[in-house]
Amino acid sequence: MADDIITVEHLRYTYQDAQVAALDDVSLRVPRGTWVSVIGHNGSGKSTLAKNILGLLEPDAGVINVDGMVLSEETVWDIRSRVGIVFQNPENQFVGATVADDVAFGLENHAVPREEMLTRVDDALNAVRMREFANREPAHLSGGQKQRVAIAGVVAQQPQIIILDEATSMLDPAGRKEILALIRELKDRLGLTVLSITHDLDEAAGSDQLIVLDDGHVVETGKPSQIFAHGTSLVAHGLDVPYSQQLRGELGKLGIEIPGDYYDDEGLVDYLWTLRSTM
Amino acid sequence: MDITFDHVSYTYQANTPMAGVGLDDVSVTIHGGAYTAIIGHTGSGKSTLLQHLNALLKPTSGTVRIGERMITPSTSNKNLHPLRKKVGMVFQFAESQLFAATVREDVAFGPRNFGVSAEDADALAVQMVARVGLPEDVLDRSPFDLSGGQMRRVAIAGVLAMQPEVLVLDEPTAGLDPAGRREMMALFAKLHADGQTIVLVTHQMDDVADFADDVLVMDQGKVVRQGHPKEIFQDAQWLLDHQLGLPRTTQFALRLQQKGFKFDHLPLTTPELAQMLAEQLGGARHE
Ligand SMILES: Nc1ncnc2c1ncn2[C@@H]1O[C@H](COP(=O)(O)OP(=O)(O)OP(=O)(O)O)[C@@H](O)[C@H]1O
Ligand SMILES: Nc1ncnc2c1ncn2[C@@H]1O[C@H](COP(=O)(O)OP(=O)(O)OP(=O)(O)O)[C@@H](O)[C@H]1O
Ligand SMILES: [Mg+2]
Ligand SMILES: [Mg+2]
Repeated sequence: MADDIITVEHLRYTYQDAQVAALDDVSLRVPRGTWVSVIGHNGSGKSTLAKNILGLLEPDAGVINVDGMVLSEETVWDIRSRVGIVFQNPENQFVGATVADDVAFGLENHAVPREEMLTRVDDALNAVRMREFANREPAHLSGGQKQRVAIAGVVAQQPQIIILDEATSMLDPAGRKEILALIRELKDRLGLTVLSITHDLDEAAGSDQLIVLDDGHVVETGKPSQIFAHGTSLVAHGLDVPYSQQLRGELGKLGIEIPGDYYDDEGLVDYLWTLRSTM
Repeated sequence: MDITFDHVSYTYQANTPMAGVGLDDVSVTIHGGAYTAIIGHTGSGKSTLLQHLNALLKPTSGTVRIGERMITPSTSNKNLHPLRKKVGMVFQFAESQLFAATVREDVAFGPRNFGVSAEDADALAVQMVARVGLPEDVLDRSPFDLSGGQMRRVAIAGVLAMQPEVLVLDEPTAGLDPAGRREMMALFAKLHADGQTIVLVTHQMDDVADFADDVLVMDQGKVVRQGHPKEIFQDAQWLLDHQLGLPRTTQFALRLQQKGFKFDHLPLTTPELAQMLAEQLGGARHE
């Protein structure tokens, strides 16, 4: 479909010397301008999928299409210029001698004029609250500060597609909220697309679409409300249900049955208040 | 074995223009047998404090007493071996502590290094790899050919295999899937119940509420509060002011309060909140 910025069809990928494929017959679509979350147990193939989309790993079989181009040796550089990724371990990402150099690195590859580059780097560092560390060596930062710098890289780059591989896993609770809001604002303002790999089900609950991987297979795709409604299958895939569903379960044990499929936090608060008010 | 900090300060790259504060006059005791959680915003000094627990870092000023051992700014790097056996640490970027050609050798290295026979160390490796929820077939794979969460599990297995007196964990569940996180926290809780001292840095306030019996809150290199989770989490506004969060249940209870529900104290766990709600919604039963 014309409006899918990423499509993956029947992708298979096997690591060298591995007995089984890390991804097997994976097909998925990411509509342009949406926020799609990928969830799945450790080793289910999430990072491998991201690396295939970027052309960092070469599929055994299947077709990947990014922004209208079929991924191949000819298109890979063009595709990479439209995708910004924050890797799972920021320590594997740093190339610059200073924080500012590192954030600028992503832009140098994109022929951004120097003047604009400096402004963008400064703005991005400011947005992630790391401006005062601009001249620090990236290795000499705390874990969460490293993640913030890695995120500043894509904020400066403003690529069509942002791929986040557990990019906020080491941020404090307030910092995580703030960074996700920052990415969301950027996405909405510039019409970007976000593909976010995450173990944070509350973050996943806020996305437009969820893709669930299990042992290299896509086992479910759909809106979070659909997928979280049948919670038991998530648990079987090594996952969990969002908080609102857990509380519903506990209330059920005490004889308070709440009808319907799925409530987010706000929905459940409203329901409980109505229940109380009608007593 | 208690670990006591007495007016400890630590400066990174001391005496250079890049000098920066890691710890600022910290005096605190971590009690043997306790399950201590350390929370604080990004860059507040948590990892710096942890690295003083086994003398990976030594104070710029002040002293750290680890059991019988006193660490001062002039302590030499020799003879720290026994200390490293007593205090086992899982780093924040656990991948960086992996090094061997196979998972089996990596996990067996600690016990081997501390004098366990090759055979027993291997048996320990097999046992610990299973305990952290990894399939047996990873044993003979390279630890570097694993997913992020799998690498973290290997690092945890390696430290468990050393059977340290004090288990120090720097965000050990970051990157674990939800089931893995639950299982890992249950494993630590079981070790604690059997007498293991645990020091945990985490941003997961639910885990703090569920497992810790002592909480240290850090801000700008200082320990600004210490107490039981029940006390720490009652002061919701203070925590939010320090960029920290609340357990999910406490957050949810606050939203209910804003709607009009009344609670005499803020609950920390889901069953506790469910019980409080049942009393209010059960209406007649309660009144
Ligand atoms: N470099 C590698 N060589 C061989 N096998 C690998 C390599 N990297 C990953 N694998 C294997 O491929 C599978 C998928 O790994 P992947 O990193 O994609 O998982 P993931 O879903 O990102 O997991 P996590 O949540 O732990 O990051 C796993 O079984 C893993 O052990
Ligand atoms: N190697 C280093 N060189 C210089 N400064 C450092 C170094 N490591 C950490 N710092 C600084 O010391 C302060 C405390 O860092 P620390 O790593 O202890 O924080 P933290 O509480 O563990 O944070 P996080 O939650 O982000 O991991 C930070 O301001 C950080 O920038
Ligand atoms: Mg991964
Ligand atoms: Mg840290």
